[in-house]
Amino acid sequence: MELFLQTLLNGLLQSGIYALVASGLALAVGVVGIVNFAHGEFLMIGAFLAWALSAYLGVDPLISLPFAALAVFGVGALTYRVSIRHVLLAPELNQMLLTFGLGILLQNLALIWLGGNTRTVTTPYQGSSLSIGELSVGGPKAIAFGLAVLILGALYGVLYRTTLGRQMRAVAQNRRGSQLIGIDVERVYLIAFGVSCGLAAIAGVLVAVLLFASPTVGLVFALKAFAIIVMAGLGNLTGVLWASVVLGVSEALVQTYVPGGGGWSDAVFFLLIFATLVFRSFRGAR
Amino acid sequence: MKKMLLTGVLLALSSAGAVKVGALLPLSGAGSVSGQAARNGYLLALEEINKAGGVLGRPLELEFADDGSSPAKAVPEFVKMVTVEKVDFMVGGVSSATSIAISGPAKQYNTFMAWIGAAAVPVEDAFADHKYFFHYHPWSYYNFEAILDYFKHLRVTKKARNIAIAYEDGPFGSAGINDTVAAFKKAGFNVVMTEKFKTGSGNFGPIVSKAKAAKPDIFYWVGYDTDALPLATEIKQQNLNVGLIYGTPPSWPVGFEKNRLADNVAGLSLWLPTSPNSQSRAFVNAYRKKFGNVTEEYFAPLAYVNLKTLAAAINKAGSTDKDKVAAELAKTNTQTPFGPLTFSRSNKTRYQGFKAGSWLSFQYLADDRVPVYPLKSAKKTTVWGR
Amino acid sequence: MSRAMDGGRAVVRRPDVPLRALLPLGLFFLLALVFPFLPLGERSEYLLQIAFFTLVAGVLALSWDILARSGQVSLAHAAFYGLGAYGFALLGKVMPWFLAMPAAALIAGLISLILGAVTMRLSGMYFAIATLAFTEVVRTIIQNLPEATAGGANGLLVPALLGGNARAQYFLAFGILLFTALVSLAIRRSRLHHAFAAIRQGEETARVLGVSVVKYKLLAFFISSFLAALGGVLYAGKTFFINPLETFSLANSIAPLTTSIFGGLYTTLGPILGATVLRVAEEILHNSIKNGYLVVYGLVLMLSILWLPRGLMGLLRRGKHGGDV
Repeated sequence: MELFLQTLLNGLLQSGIYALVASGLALAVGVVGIVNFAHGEFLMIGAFLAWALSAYLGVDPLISLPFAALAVFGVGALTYRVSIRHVLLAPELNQMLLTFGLGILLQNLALIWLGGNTRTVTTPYQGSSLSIGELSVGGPKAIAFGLAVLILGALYGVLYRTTLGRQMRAVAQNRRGSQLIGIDVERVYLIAFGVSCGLAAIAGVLVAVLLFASPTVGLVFALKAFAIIVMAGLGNLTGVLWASVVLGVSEALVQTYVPGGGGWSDAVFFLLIFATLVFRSFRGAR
Repeated sequence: MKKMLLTGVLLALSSAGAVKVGALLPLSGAGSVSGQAARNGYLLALEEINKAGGVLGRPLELEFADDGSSPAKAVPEFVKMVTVEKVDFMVGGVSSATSIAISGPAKQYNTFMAWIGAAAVPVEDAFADHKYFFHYHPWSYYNFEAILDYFKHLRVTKKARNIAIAYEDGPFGSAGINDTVAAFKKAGFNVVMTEKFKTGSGNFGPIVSKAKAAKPDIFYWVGYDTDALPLATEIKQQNLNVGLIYGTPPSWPVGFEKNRLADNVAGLSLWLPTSPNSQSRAFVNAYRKKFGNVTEEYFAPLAYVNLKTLAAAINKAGSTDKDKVAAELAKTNTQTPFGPLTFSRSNKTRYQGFKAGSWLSFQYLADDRVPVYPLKSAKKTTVWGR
Repeated sequence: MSRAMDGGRAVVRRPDVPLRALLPLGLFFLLALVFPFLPLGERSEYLLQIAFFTLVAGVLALSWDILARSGQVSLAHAAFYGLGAYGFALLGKVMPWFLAMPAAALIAGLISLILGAVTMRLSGMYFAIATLAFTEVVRTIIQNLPEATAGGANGLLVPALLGGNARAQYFLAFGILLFTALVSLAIRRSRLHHAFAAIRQGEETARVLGVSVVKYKLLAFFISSFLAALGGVLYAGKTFFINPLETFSLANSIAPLTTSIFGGLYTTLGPILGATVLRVAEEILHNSIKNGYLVVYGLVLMLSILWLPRGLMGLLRRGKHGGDV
């Protein structure tokens, strides 16, 4: 019984990272429709910022978190201005090539400047955990989960309760129409994409604390984040959280109860997504 | 002696150019950390070789090629080295997949290869019938011999009996895992858990929970540097009661030693910058003088030894004739930062350099990596976790 | 996505391909045919190796494009490429290579029919992620098969194609790319072309026009995967070694996508040209910039799509409208 409860907890905690990485992507791809293949690289910048500030200035990653988010928001906004803006009217596939090129560029810049080494951050709370009887809840992962809930909640609030949010949804649905009714489409896209990148950086800071920073740190998580937001349904923010939890817990169950299950966890993750998409498509509701 | 010197001079005068060596390394892509480290090792060796008079009386020439950690790039680069740059010898090679991919052209051109990495057994199969293949790095099965030796020592001194194994599900972690389990059992250990994980995922919660139920004395993991911290974190958080956490990643994260979670974590390495042997100290000093820092990557001294021994063999052979150089290189018996180097048969290849005896086990103690086994090179005794 | 992807081009423009438009394609193949005999001096063998992998990249990109023409932007190309490679490695043990090769491709093609049928009603990002998930599942399954069966995570040694003769291998790859191009041209000249275009621009409309959407989508999947698998055979037989992690890597699905966009979508010449230009550009950058040539490579990709939203084919087509091969 304890093992079962601990397994559920393990899955829940892992899903926090998934949801955190997916939250920014859900805004860019899901809400405003910019397919960003370089999302993982923005995450990587956040992770390296956290690492650099911690290693050279001794700033705790959780304190540098807002700074990293702001800095990467700037990078994202700049990226939008000089490149993405120009492909928005072109076929969607062009965005993919553009952001794919951007991803290669950023990843290799990091490789030149910092080398391919894996770097880790040291914080006093890294190994901390909360014990409930025999169960244990890892501190940093709990923080990541909390942040993911907070961010997705805030995004939801902004999208459905504020003018900016309504504009974002309007722009995503009908760009020309939005322009006609006086929405500053450019500004809306810029903010949405910048925020999406800033959120990637927040995820990156947490990933640096939990795991590591390296030029390729974004790859694993960005791939899964893409799958998660699509499973949730594009534009469905609360779905991102549910999808993450379902996937995280299923992975944990397989890893614990199937012999050699660690080798099957990816299969289960992607099989669930595959099945969900196919099932939904045949039910006709999407 | 005089005669040999004379032939050398004559040869140098008569041959069109200097001896040329090509180094194929992953300077970009997944293996770039090891590749860049090896590059530095080669540059240092090149400088020393040429300061000491070069090869066959001429300065040695060294060309680098980047295999991009991918077979599709390695093949053209290798062919370019051999046919366009017309190198006399090839060195380098880190990844196993790229090394296998070039085994075709290597045999076609009958290329002399003094290879540093590529430890997977399929590489051994691919080069089994190649006449001029010298392999410096121990094959993966030698690693295991060294580990088993250490664990047997822990059984005697710490009463270690139960081993939990966690390995990454890619080719690195899975190499020979079945044989590993069988060998542990044969040696009288109980393998209480064998589990796979996905490298880089940071998802160790379930594995550690499982290990907790299995109550191991040694937690043995095979993965990459990216897994070191998340695993140590999870073990601490779930409070796994274990005597030793032992890992064998190809390299460790930068700055890991300063993390308190690293305390007492043990691992396997061919070499540590703190190794007391005099060759190693000389290497570290020379490296610091040239590059201004100390490297942690064993591929740097491995590449250094690789080029220096090759240059020495060419000089002894007095020519670039492959058979003569191979005969001389095979006779190598020299002290290196890893201990003595000689070539002997492995399971399938003719010229295998370092074997099980070159590995050493260390432990992270007080912000540093300290050798704890084999006892002849140990600086401290193993700190047992309970 | 399917709507936005095509920028709203007309369904049918020209029933036939004008001969003039075939000229660049013919030139390419002529050049590729004589390439091994060009007096390139000491560089010839090295360039032949580069050319081989370029042809394979061309096969992958063009076969991907054929599927994309039916509106199915797939991320499962690595799966069929990998199934081809694995099929060849395993079948090659029991039959001669010239039988193992089509057999492996046929198996991949048949498996693609299953995927195609199941993902029939998905489109855009949903389709892309479903195919990506399929690839990951296939990879994991092969990785977890017993080592004696398919090498497991460690991978498999593959017998050398054509005894490892580089020139013979080149001509085999040439032949397969030529075959792929002929298939692509045949599609262009048949009613498949119109059917694919109609489906791409809206399945509902296509149905109204009387196009059998299910049949044509599956056909596109089969053709595309069959050809991709041949590409996988070439790769495996050239590098002697395959393992699940590299063979089924996402990079092998993304590369044909980016190459086709770079070259020009829904054409025969575009993906081939894209593969050639990208590989040559990469090699030049690689040789001239020792450290971090990939930074420039990424930049080239970005700039190209900003300036040439229709890929390289946009350049060729500029001025004279029509005649897309």
